[in-house]
Amino acid sequence: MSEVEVSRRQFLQIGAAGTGVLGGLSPLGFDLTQAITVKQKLRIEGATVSHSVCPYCAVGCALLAYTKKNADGKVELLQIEGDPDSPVNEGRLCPKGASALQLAVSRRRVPSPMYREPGAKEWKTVSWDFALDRLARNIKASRDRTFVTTDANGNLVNRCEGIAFAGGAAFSSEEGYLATKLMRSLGYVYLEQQARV
Amino acid sequence: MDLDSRRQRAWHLRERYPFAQQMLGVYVAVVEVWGSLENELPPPGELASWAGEKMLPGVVKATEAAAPQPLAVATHDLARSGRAVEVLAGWLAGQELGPAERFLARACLQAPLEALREEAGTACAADPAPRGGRHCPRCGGLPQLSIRAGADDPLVRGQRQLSCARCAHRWQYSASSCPSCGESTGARRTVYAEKHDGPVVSRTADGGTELFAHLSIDACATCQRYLIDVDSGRDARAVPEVDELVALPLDLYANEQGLSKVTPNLMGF
Ligand code: SF4
Ligand SMILES: [Zn+2]
Ligand SMILES: [Zn+2]
Repeated sequence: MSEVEVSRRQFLQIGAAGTGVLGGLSPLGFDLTQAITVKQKLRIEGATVSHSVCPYCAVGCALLAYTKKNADGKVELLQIEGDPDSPVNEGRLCPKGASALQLAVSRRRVPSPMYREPGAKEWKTVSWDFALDRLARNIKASRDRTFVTTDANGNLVNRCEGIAFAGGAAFSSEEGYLATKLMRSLGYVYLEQQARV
Repeated sequence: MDLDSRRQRAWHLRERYPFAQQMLGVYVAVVEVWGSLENELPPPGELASWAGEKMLPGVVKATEAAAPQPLAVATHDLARSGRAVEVLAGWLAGQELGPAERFLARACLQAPLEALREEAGTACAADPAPRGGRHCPRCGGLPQLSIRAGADDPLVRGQRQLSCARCAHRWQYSASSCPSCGESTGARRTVYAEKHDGPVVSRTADGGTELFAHLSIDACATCQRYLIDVDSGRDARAVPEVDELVALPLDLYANEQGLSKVTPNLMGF
């Protein structure tokens, strides 16, 4: 472009193409050949941003989750970070919350229930049906064994003293309500709950 | 107005991003002209004519020396046409300008407006645009780039600021809303960034090989607009205004996706 004269009129016409690239030149005449090559080699991915809440403790830090929909329709979680707009954590996360990503994508995540038989040394993978049946049977046995109908003074109490329930910070208020309702219906009195949000 | 850090950053980035050398060269030449302003405070009420006299000759000379021919010629012609002050006044009033006119106006006016600080609002009084929200609270200008504050802690995501395309003032703006139309539905907003192998947990560089680790495209599907986001948490030495110029390949990518920047930068991207 050394000897090219561009009049103002022509120039504005070129500019009308916005930042359009003509012959490797930008509207203001910058040479874009190298930048185009760099762009062609770049691996760029687009992520959408969703709001979430850290499940780990009662602070309830706000999270931003970056996800991408793959060609096979599966949604892939790319990154989690604190939400800078949240008045709760102002973009901060503790190390535990910062690793919340691994809840979803850790290679070491246990994908199915594990069972160690009484006296056995090894854990083995079992089905959900097996695990739930086993839990139900154990709960029933403990409850039957430790159920108290009347206390020392002869008052009617109908309670189970042999099982305690510990909820988790991952519970929403609704889940906490449901859990409490269920445990009370079984007669449990030792309940600990950390529901929030 | 820290011109030294901008100049130094531009020199540094020239080595790391050879494709942006020409633009960074023009930028440094313009910054030198801004340096000539020293401590002089321009009259906010007559900024266009003041800048036409004090800044224009230097800007034209610098552009002729450093810019590619079409820009150099267009700037020269504009200066000689006698319309220059009118163009500068048009920029202060928020009028639509051609690319070369916009370059000239910004190169002549950004430094004086920065020096004026709050008074920049007086200089842009003719612009009917609202103040605050998605517009610069000082002068009513539109945002040019999005900046994430740095933090000592890699687990902290900094708050977002927008930087005004006209007076370079920075203001806080929601990190999860579109800076152009205010869209806040996550699914309508896409962040395009260079692909990172493996999940990202903290903000510190973890030996990744990305060329643009601290730069991304903050795009909105509702209005088809975008801004380059400069994350100082990922590169503490970033000088956002300068770093945004090297996002050129990202700009080209965004254009390919049918997106246009809320306001192009000084070099027209
Ligand atoms: S990030 Fe840490 S402090 Fe915040 S809710 Fe999660 S576990 Fe609690
Ligand atoms: Zn402004
Ligand atoms: Zn938008």
